[in-house]
Amino acid sequence: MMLTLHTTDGGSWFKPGELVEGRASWHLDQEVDAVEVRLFWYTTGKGTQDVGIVRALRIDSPDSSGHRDFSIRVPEGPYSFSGKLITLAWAIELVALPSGETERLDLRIGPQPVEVDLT
Amino acid sequence: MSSAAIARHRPADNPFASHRVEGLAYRGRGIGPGGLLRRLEETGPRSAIVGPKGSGKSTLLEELASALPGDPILVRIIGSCRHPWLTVRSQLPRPVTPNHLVLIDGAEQLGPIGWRLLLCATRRARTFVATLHRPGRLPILIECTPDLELLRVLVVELTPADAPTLMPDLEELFLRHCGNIRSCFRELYDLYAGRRSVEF
Amino acid sequence: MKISIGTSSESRSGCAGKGFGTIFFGLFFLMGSLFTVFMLAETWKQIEPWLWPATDCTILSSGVTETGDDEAAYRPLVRYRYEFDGQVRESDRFLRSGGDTASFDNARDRAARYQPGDAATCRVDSNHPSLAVLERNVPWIGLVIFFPLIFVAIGGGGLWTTWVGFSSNEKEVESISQKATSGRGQKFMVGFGLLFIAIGGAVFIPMALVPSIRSAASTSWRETPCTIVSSSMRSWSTDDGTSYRADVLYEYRVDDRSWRSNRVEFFGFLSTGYADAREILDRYPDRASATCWVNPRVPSKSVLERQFRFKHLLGLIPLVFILAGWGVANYGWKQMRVRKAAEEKTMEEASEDDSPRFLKPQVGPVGKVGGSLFFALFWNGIVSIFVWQAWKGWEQGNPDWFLTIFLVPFVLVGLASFGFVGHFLLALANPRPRLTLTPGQPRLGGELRLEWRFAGRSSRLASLRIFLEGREEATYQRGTDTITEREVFATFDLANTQNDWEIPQGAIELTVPSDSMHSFEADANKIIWEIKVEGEIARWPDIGQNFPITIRPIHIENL
Repeated sequence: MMLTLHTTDGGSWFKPGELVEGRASWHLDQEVDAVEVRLFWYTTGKGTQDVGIVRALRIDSPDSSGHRDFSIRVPEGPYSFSGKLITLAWAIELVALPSGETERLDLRIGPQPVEVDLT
Repeated sequence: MSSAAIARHRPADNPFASHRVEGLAYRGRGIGPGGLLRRLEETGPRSAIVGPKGSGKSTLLEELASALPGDPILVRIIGSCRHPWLTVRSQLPRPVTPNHLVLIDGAEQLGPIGWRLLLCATRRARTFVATLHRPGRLPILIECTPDLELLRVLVVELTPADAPTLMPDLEELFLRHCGNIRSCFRELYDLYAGRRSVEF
Repeated sequence: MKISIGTSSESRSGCAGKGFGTIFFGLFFLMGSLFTVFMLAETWKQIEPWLWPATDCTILSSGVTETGDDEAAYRPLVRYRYEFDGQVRESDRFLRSGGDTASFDNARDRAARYQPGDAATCRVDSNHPSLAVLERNVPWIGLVIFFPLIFVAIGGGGLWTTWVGFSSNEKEVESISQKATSGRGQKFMVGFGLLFIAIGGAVFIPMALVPSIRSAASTSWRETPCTIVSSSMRSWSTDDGTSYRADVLYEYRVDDRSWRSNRVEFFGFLSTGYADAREILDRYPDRASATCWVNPRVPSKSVLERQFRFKHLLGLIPLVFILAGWGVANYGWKQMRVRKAAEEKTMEEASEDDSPRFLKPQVGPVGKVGGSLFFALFWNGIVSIFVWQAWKGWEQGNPDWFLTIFLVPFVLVGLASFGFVGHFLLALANPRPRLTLTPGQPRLGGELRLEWRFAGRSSRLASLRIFLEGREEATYQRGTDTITEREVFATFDLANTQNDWEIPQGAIELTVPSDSMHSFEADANKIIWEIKVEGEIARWPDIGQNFPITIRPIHIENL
């Protein structure tokens, strides 16, 4: 199974309110119920991981090979940031269901190209 | 060793961040998943994983959950839970049938009544394993006793480049936290995060 | 490592399991259904008279009669005449069902509303004109239908699960986004908690609250001589044995009018044992003279004993259910709100209202007193029972050393808890900061204006510091430990003075750094901003209050 994700201009930094546009492609060697493109944030660090899915685009009963263009508007927040206890990062995932195989593309969301540094 | 010897890391890059620590496989006593399942068959349908805090009981229970066939049900009772029995009950299927494999992490949080209710609710489960701090309630599946060697092995796994620097001071860290490896990891997290100046 | 957590089951259970499940849950379903049908029938019986036509009637006689039932010994007996379909009839039916009561006063008061010769209105069943009622029940019994419905739900749910089952849709975690949990159990906890509160309240109100209010109100009642008309032991069967009640009917005179009552005490609910009833009967034998207490404004209201007794504290037991229910519901509700806030992470719906906001402290001084007082009373209330036991032993020359020594740390904690109450009570007299923030929810890179003033004697403050603090909070739950760690990443002094002309009130403006992080809240990880007020008072508890605020991201249009 091959899953690929890329943004239209290859960028990984987006300001709040901008559109994340790109293409999700798949080549499946077995039947799946659906594939899903998800924009989400997640935390890592000393605390238990939190995950928040902002938007999920589901394609039911996909063909064995195919692609889907996506355009998702980035919300106002939360920004990507790192302190001493918490890092909050953004990503897009292409997930095959129910197997859960995944392709991930890391993003940064915020007013500046770098994550907010709280240290 | 002083904190200056360790460069400050972002939380996401901290080798002792929660997702890395939680991702560690259980190590110890030369028993792998296959051995665990064999011992489970020998012990009977109900058994306990026993050990003090930070000795790897939760990690071992998760390993067991992965090794068991089917879809075992893993229920976690956290320390802040005000009503442990209600929390457990809301996560158990109704009813619990002989097809169910039930694993309870943190069963020592249940009082005598909650424990009795749990045993009654899961009496028909095919397999029931609970983690406890002390033996006595159920036959022992495995007793987790953390040792310094285990801490060394895990630190090497998490910090391959820095491990030689940390090794000489791990014994003092282990003793200071009374063998609680999880607490050792928290202090090591702070060292890598540059929080407070941590001196071993 | 892979973890599967979920409520999963096979879609079919074995034959024996199915059979047992069918019988077990079938019984639940059947019993619940039978009770539901019975409740519905009773409810309909009480609703029906509301649909009958109103008919004029004339009261012929009015009084109280004994029912012959020890549990509810009295009934209002009002005879009336009415005309329907050209035929004159008489009836003494007061209600369609019920109306019997253990309280002579209740029966008397209901009957007293209808005096001989009065014109009244009754309701007549047009299909059976001989069936008429003077008053109509309010069909409260319909609310009780929820209880048998619980059994119907359990039984039906169990039968469905046994025969149909449900399939798991929890899968092994492969990706990070798959870890976004849907949460389970919070709604159940809220519902369960509310049920506990309802049950506790339904018992606490008649058992303790209403009698306490009546007892307090009776301090102005007049002492009046009375005669015991009859004094008898009433008994009736209940689910767990036999209940007893002392029925003491007494008579007294006020302003040349004679009254009767059988109210011995306000906390009658708590006296259902034989010993208690016997004790009362021994105090008030037949034809004895006694003293009762009469309401001077409503002479029909009276009571034989109005003093508070230690056993009346038993009426507080339902509070445990209310508190437990509140705890469960509150916990479940908070978890639901945190989860909802995390799901609504777009923040695009954040309020655009920039008007000033009056800030509320995280925990007010009254809350601190209340919380500490509750703990002190609860703790010392329980400990005092055992202290009393130990003291009795010492008094009787038979001390229980083990109990005495065992109680020492508990008593010390109890005394310390009162110390805290005292500390917070003193702090109540402190001047209280009143903060106004403009805009109510400032943005990163934006201006904020904070105005402060003090309610109370701010001249007592020797120094004042107000500062804005931003911090990370990370909670981890591994095994059975739950720990929240905090790391302050930003501190901005807004006011730091010892000048007595600057302390009572002031205002400051601040530009929130644009390169910082806005407020954020998830299950285990948070970014919290707070305005903190610290004030020193010599030889007195200092002021220390925290005011949480929300700092929003930079407006999208300004990026």
